[in-house]
Amino acid sequence: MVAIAGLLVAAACGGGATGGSGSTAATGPAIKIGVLDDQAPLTAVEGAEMRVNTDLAIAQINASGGIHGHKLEAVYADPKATPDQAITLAQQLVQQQGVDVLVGAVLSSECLGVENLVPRLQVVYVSSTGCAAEDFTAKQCNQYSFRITPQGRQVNIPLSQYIVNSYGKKWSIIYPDYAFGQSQLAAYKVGMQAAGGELTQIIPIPQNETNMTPYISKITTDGSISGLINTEVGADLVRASQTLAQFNIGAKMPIVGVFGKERFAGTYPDSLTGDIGQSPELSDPPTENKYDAAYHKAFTEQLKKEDANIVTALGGVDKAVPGDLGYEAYTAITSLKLAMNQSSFTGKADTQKLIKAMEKLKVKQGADFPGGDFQMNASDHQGVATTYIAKINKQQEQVLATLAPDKLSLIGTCTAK
Amino acid sequence: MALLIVALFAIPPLYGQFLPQRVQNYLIFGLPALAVGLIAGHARLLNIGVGATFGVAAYTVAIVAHHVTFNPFVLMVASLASGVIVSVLFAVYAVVATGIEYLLLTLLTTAAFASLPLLATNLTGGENGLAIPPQGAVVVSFGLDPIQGNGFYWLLCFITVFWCALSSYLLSSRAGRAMVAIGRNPVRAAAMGYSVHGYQVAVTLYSGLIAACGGWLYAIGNTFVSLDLLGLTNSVNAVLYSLIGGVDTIIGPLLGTIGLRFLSEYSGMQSTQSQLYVGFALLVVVYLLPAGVIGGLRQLWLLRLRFRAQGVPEGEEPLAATLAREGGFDATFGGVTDE
Repeated sequence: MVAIAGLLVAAACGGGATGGSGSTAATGPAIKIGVLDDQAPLTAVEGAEMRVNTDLAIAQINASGGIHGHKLEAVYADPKATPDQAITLAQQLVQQQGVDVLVGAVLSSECLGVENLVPRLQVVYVSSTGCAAEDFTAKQCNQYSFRITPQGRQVNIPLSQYIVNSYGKKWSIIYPDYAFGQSQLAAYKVGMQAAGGELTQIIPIPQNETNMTPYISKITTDGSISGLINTEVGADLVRASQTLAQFNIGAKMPIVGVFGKERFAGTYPDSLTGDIGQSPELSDPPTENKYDAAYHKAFTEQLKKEDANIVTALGGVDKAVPGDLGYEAYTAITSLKLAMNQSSFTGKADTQKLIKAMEKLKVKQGADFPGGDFQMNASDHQGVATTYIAKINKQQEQVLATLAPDKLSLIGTCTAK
Repeated sequence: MALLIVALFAIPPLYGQFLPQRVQNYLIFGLPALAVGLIAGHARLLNIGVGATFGVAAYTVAIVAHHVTFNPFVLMVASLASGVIVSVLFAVYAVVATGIEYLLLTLLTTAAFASLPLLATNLTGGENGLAIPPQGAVVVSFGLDPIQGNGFYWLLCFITVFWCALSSYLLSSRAGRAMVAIGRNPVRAAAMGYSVHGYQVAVTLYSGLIAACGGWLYAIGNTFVSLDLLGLTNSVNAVLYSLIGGVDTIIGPLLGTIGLRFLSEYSGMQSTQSQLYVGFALLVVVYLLPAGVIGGLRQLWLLRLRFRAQGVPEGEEPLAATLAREGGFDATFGGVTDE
């Protein structure tokens, strides 16, 4: 019985690592950022990018004096890609660890669960790497939650317009037949309709399908189709791309697909050459973008200080890139920095001021947003940012078009209140 | 035991600092572990379907609250009823199958349940999960706020103590002893005139009701449900908690839940490789405490009594009598001898 009581008390004392690199001396109490950083195998890349880029952004902010003299401090927790853990840890971070702001959670179900909780905890919550569900700002928005990176139809509609205008109106699509793929299908249907095109051939492929040939062979190559949209991800994407290469589909029509070297441990497979995609952050910084070059250099330096498993997940120090996954995490922190500075935020008591400052964010390309311009939409707390449409050419990304933030669509009609 | 109950009710609220909220999370997941302990530890039916029962009950609360009503009594009844309905399916398996077949049936059914929400995404939210609307967040829990105050915590404590006490009473009753005997040797029990299938159905429904209660409490406590509640992971976790704590005890599954979940949360804050530490801890327990923590403590207690009994001259007092007299095992464990 004594042991049981001791276990209960010990449970109260658990947790509270001060991860991150904001451990220098502070002139005032540190502003704590609770980071829900998934380290599960399913989210290894996303979790690693979140860790490195959060540490990088906080280190840079602290090196330049913090927020009005207050250092930033990251308090990490690992929900292990499970929504119930994400909700519990979010609550614990706020009520026990005393964090002032919440960031992170990779899976859509995690970030939606945390989003549902934060109005009761009354802290600002900014999604970081991942959290691709449109519902986060399209349906379930509230005054405390924010998303920086554009998602879903916001980017699919202008991308669809570009490919319809550039290549033609009739498109085939292959997609993984589970919730993610079905949501991509729905988004592209909307995008194509808005662009005056249509998905004339829809091919669902079971998730984790090892033999892609029966599905890829259905793609019409008689010239009646303008191109192919490939929404596969992960290992399915590699298999689909290899099968597409076997059938020489890429030589017959343009292929629109997933983008970002960070998803492939820093090196694109040869089978992806010719694919077109969109992203707010290119894998390799354009030579004319000094801000992006500085960001990539700082990312590499920060990566050398991280745990070995983080470095391995990203492909090693020599090959790792932040990509759009890392950029999401980095700009989540830099946007908070800008809003905190504007609102003189010192802690949770200033949450309402922070919310107002976040709603008004409008940033030109620079050190805080090295990829391009950024603007927050005050009505649904969804950000819009400069987006690049580019083509993969072996290990290079050739920019085909640049979309300014005001060219991106609204994600929905939710009003954050 | 009374002191333990008083400690459970009193210490966390007095200590504060998130301890009540942390413990209530443990108690919620302790209920399906208790269900596993009863059905697998005592009745010897290795049912992997606890997670399905838990998840269905939780989803029922979210769906009804999202689309119909916030009435807490309606939600409670609907949730428990849905859990019992799922348990009927597993009870049928207990009648038609045994051993590995039974295990596989429950496992595959649980895996299938994880896909159910994807069939009606407008109703269930699909992979995104389903939230109870904010305006109903406290209404659904009888006005007791799960994240502020101690009311919800005490409700959980009361429900947990109720199920533990009821389970302990049933196990020590004639029916409970018959169920344990059926679990150990169903052929012998049937020869003695016990309705084997009847008892198996009864224990399946009873444990399903406990798991459903856990699902109901989870939904009203977290106001959000997701696919992982229905999947194999949740079920396997309940089995692990029960095994680690002591599958053939009442308090063991609850302790296993507290220990493993605390370890997982704590190591997740200290390291990027927390799953490595959890795995190591599991290995240590499996090798050193195969009967679980409580089982291991009980064995140590028996060992102590044996050493003491060795000082009594042979024939003067049987060891069993010594154990019964000094340890009170006959009354505590309903006459079941330690094998």
